[in-house]
This record gives sequence, C-alpha cells and structure tokens, in this order.
Amino acid sequence: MLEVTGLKKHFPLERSFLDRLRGKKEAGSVHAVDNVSFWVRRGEILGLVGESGSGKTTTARLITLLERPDSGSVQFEGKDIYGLSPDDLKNFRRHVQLVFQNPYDSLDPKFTIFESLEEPLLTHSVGRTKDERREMVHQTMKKVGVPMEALNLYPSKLSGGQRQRIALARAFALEPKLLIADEPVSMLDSSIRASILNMLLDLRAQGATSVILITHDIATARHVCDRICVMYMGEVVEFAMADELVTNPLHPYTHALLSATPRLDPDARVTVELTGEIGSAADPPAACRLHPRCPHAYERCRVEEPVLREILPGHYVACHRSEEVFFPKLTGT
Amino acid sequence: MAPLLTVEGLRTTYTVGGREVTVVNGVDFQMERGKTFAIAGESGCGKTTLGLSIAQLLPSNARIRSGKIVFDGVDLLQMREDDFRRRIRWKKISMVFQGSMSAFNPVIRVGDQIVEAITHHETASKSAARERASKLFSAVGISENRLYSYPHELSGGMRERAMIAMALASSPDLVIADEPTTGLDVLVQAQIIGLLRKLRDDLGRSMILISHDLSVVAELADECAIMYAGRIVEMGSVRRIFGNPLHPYTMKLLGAFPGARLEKRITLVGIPGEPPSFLNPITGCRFNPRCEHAMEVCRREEPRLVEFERGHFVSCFWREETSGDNTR
Ligand SMILES: Nc1ncnc2c1ncn2[C@@H]1O[C@H](COP(=O)(O)OP(=O)(O)OP(=O)(O)O)[C@@H](O)[C@H]1O
Ligand SMILES: Nc1ncnc2c1ncn2[C@@H]1O[C@H](COP(=O)(O)OP(=O)(O)OP(=O)(O)O)[C@@H](O)[C@H]1O
Ligand SMILES: [Mg+2]
Ligand SMILES: [Mg+2]
Repeated sequence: MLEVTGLKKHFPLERSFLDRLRGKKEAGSVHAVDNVSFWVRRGEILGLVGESGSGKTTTARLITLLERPDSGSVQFEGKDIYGLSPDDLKNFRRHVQLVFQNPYDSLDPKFTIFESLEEPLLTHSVGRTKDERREMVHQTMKKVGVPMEALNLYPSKLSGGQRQRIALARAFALEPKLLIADEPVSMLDSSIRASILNMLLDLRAQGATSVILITHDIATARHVCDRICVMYMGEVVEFAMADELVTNPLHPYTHALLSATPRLDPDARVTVELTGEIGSAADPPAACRLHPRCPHAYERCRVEEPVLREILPGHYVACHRSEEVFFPKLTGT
Repeated sequence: MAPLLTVEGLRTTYTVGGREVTVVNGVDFQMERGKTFAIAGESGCGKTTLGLSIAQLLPSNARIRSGKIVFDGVDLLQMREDDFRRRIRWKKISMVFQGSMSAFNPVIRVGDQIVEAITHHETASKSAARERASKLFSAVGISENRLYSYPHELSGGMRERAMIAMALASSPDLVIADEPTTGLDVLVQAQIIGLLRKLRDDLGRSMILISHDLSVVAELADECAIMYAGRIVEMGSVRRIFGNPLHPYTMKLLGAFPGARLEKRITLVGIPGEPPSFLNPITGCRFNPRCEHAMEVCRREEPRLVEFERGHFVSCFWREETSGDNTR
C-alpha cells in the first residue's frame, strides 16, 4: 500500500562564523535520512524504531509531503506521491494523516476542542450538516475516552494525555487509510499509554487502516506492531516481523537495543553492548555507521557500506557480519 | 542496625492562589543504609515533592505541616535551618534533580558549577575542588575536558551524569535521584543504570530513586514504595512487589507496562478513569473510582498502610478482606 524506496534527505548546515572567515563554501549537511526503504501493508501496524535523531520524524514528514526528499520515491496505492495531480493530492491528504510528536503542537490553541475536531471534517467535506458532524465528533470522543465536557474547552485546559488522545481522535475522524503516529505515547504515563496503544490496535482490528507507529521504545513496538523497522543514524538497519525481530535480532544495533531495554524482572540486568554515544548526523562514520561503536566491527565494516538484504524470509538486515555473529552454527566450526 | 532514614506521617502542602493543597499526605517509610529505595508512581502523585521534603529543598510556597524525617538518628524537621545547611545538605544528603537541563545554570560551565557546589558546602580550596571535580567526571565516565563545556553542549546522557557527579561531590550518605533516566534513549539509560548500580554495589552508597518507570525500579531498587495521589499504597522488596503485587493499582500499573516481557507479545491494559486531582480530593480510598474491586467501605474510609506479609505493606480494604477469606 505504501512503498518507500531509497528515500534521502540531507539538511544543509549553516556555515559558522569561522567557516566563513576561512572562506569555506560548504558547511556540510545533516544526513537526516539516507537511503531508507520499507513498505507498509494494508491493515498492518508498522513500527519505526530508533534513538533520538535517527531520522524517524524526518521520514514521517517526507511521507506526508511536509518535506521534499533529495532523492528516492514514495508510492501510495501505486502512485508516486511527489507527482500527484491536484485531485489526487486532495485525496492523499485526506487518507494519510499524521499525528505530531508533541501533543502541544498538534492542536491549534485558538480552537476549542470541538472546532479542532470539526475542522478536518469541513475541509474534506465529510458530514453534510452541522448535526451530522456533531454526531461524528461525539462518536470519536467516545472512542478515545475523553469526557464530552472537554469539547467546549481550549487545549490549554487539558492534560497532555487528553490532548494526545484528541489529536489522535482528530486523525481517526476521517477514517484514513494510513495513520502515522509520531511518538504518540512517549510523554504519557503507562496507564494512559496502554489505552492509547489499544486505540491503534482497535483501528487495525477494523482492518481498513494501516498505521506507522514511530517510537524510540522497542518494547512498546513489540507489543503493538506487526512488523518493526529499526533505524540508526538515518538508515534502516533491520526490518522484520515483530516477533522475529525481538527473538532473533540479526543486527548488532537491534541486539544492543534489546539488551539495554529493562524488563520488569528484578533478576534481569540491562547490558550495554555498544561503546560511546551516537555520533553527529552531520558527520556520520563512513561505510557502516555503527562501526565505531560495534563490538563485532572488522576491516570491511570501515570501508564498505552494508546494504539491506533479505537474510531470512522476510527478515532484512544491513550488516556484513550477521551470519557469522548471530548464526554461529551455520558457518560450521 | 538502625535505619538510615525514617519518615513518619509526613504531610507536605503547596499554597496556590490562597488555597492550600496537600500533596504528600501521611507518608511513612524506612530505609536501610547501603540500599536503594525507590519511590514509584505516575506523574503528579507527589514523588518529587516527597524527595524535596527530605532534602529540605522545597519551594517557598510549600510547607511541611506534620511528620518526622529522622536521618541518622536526628529529626531533620527539628533542626535549625542554618544547622541543616552547614551539616547535612550536600555533605550528608544530596539530590540529582529531575530534568538535568533546567537544574544546571545554562550560562556557567559545568565544571565551575561543580566546583562552586563543593566550595559552597565545605571548606575546600578552589584547586582541590577542581581536582575533585575531574576525578568525579572520570568516575561517571565523562572525559575531563568536558568540565569546560556549557550545559547545552553536553548530550542528555552526559548532562545527567554530570548532575550525578555534582551530587556525589561531597561523598554524601544519601543521594536522592529524581527521574535520573527519564527522557534518555535506552542505550544511554542503560549506561546511567550501570553507573547508579556501581554506586550502590561498589561504594555502598544509599539512594532514594524516584521514577515513574517501573522497569528502571526493577533494575535498580532493593525496596520500593508505590505512590498514588500523595500516599503510599504499597511497599516492600521489589521482588515481592513485582512478583506478587497486592494493591489493585500496582497490579494495573504492571499490566500496563510494555517492558514487562519482550519474548512474548502481551496485551497491555490501561487503567480506566481519570488520574486523580489534588484540587478535588476523593473521599475514602483515593483509587476507588478507578478500582474494579471497590466496595462500600472504600468510598467511605481511607485505608491504612498495614503489613500484610512480612515486610510487604499494602493499604487496601479489598485485599484485607479477601485475605481473611483465604485463611478461613
Ligand atoms: N529542519 C531541519 N534542519 C536541520 N536538521 C534537521 C532538521 N530536521 C531534523 N534535522 C536533523 O536530522 C536528524 C534526524 O532528525 P529526526 O527529527 O528525524 O529524528 P527522530 O528520529 O525523529 O528523533 P527524536 O526521537 O528525537 O524525535 C537530527 O540530527 C536532526 O537534528
Ligand atoms: N511549586 C509548586 N506549587 C504548586 N503546586 C505544585 C508545585 N510543585 C508541584 N506541584 C503540584 O504537586 C503535585 C505533585 O507534584 P510532584 O512534582 O511532586 O509530582 P511527581 O510525582 O514528581 O510528578 P512527575 O512524575 O510528573 O515528576 C502536582 O499536582 C503538581 O502540580
Ligand atoms: Mg522525532
Ligand atoms: Mg517529579
């Protein structure tokens, strides 16, 4: 349904004062998204997982036309979204909805909650009469479990959790074919978090909507998503069914993420498998971007960029050493 | 051995717009030396206020209305303020503040802030303090030349570690760490967890860990108190609480947590209803409107924290009653 191929976006850096003094022309650029490919099937929840700065939000902005890529393509229902006709574009904007990362950004402070929820219905001419639209707004409020009294309030009077639920309700109201939710739960307590994630699962159960769930928390993705795509410094490093990915990670970065994720078990211990910290996306390491931190890196990782390849059916990895490191039995010895 | 810290009947209030609201409402607990005691619970339940009450760092609109905070045999609430500042603050009890960005002064280099913290609280020369600051930085795994950085030049993880270094500056007996890993990526969080664990295991440091993240509590704490709307609803060893939770709120909280098990997909279950508000306190048990086991008495009376099993405390009428059924 959605196919992303070789997507790339670099943001030019401002030249610093020193650079200008030295007569440097180019300040370089931030490699926000580099050669990202994945696809979303109808009615599935795809998780986009990675640390802060790995390019998740930029990917979402590219898919929703808030940003133009430097290269690469995005096909939605078979059509390239960067070359849509005005009619198709209108249709696309209705059927692909983005919920922003920050609940404080997603609602207009000048609108009451009712106005915020009615606005997309008006824009896309859904619901003919005011009563019809009111009824639809009430239905969505019920779905997200925010009391009706909130309808006449302004966003500033609501808690972060309520705002986030309203923002999702707003996106749901149009019954989109693709919903992209950027960290919809990261600012919320676990009890509210669970109910919002369950809203996504309910949507999927109805079958018509696909979801891209962006999160830095692989544990959340694991319980909610059908498939997970792991990003590191603007690149996809691993892409597989959620079950497969967490039980059989084949990329050292995914492996490290999983070992660093605390469990609710007082006897379990997190471990840190990577050295150092994520570097600057303005100056990413050559070849494999993980190599300076990776315990398994060897010469080839420093000189040759690993490509994403299907190593097991439906399981894609970008690492030269996956077989050696993670399938010791297969390589003999 | 006598406990390091005993808190009894602590009640802390904030006055806002002429109205006084009770945010920590009758908290009792004890912690032993060399252990990590966690205070867990959802946003706004009063964890930070409890921590600030113990460290005597409350903002000016806050008041401790009643209770005792006995630290190393001395009731801190009976101490004169300058006495506390001279003898206890930072030297005996220090704090890692929630949100390391706002805790540092943005226009002063972090090294200078640590030196300042040391010379402010004890009679040390500037050069001795500077030397100690660089030792502390290497102990928390930051290179010494970072002492010359401004707070915004450090990554979130480094800033949190710098904050921990500052809290350790005068070798305190008790460190209160308020949400030390919140907002950090898991790989950075795992480094901080490792660092805090080392403080306890290698240096025998006592710590109060404040966190809403139960998985971090499970990783780091020996004992744990679960707070809801200003009160402790359950308390005991982490093994007990995570293995056999007694309070309906704790049970729900654990069921809502995604980090529980990664091997198997689970269904997360939220807690229905609205989080509590201090402005309109609920009569009876604070959790009763959201509790599936609520009985008549829960709406009328407030349950007390009782020792249900050895070392495992709970405040819940339903639990007390069902246990009676079991033993009959
Ligand atoms: N408009 C922009 N101009 C310059 N750099 C940008 C811009 N937007 C993003 N970046 C940079 O691109 C990289 C990827 O950012 P992005 O917001 O996509 O990451 P993310 O994975 O969503 O992170 P987070 O988890 O923190 O939200 C970062 O280094 C970021 O600083
Ligand atoms: N300085 C203050 N003046 C008035 N009310 C305050 C003040 N500080 C906190 N509060 C209120 O007291 C309650 C408890 O706040 P506290 O910061 O102790 O909670 P917390 O459990 O640490 O929450 P979080 O997990 O969000 O940090 C909240 O309702 C908060 O709004
Ligand atoms: Mg983002
Ligand atoms: Mg707090």
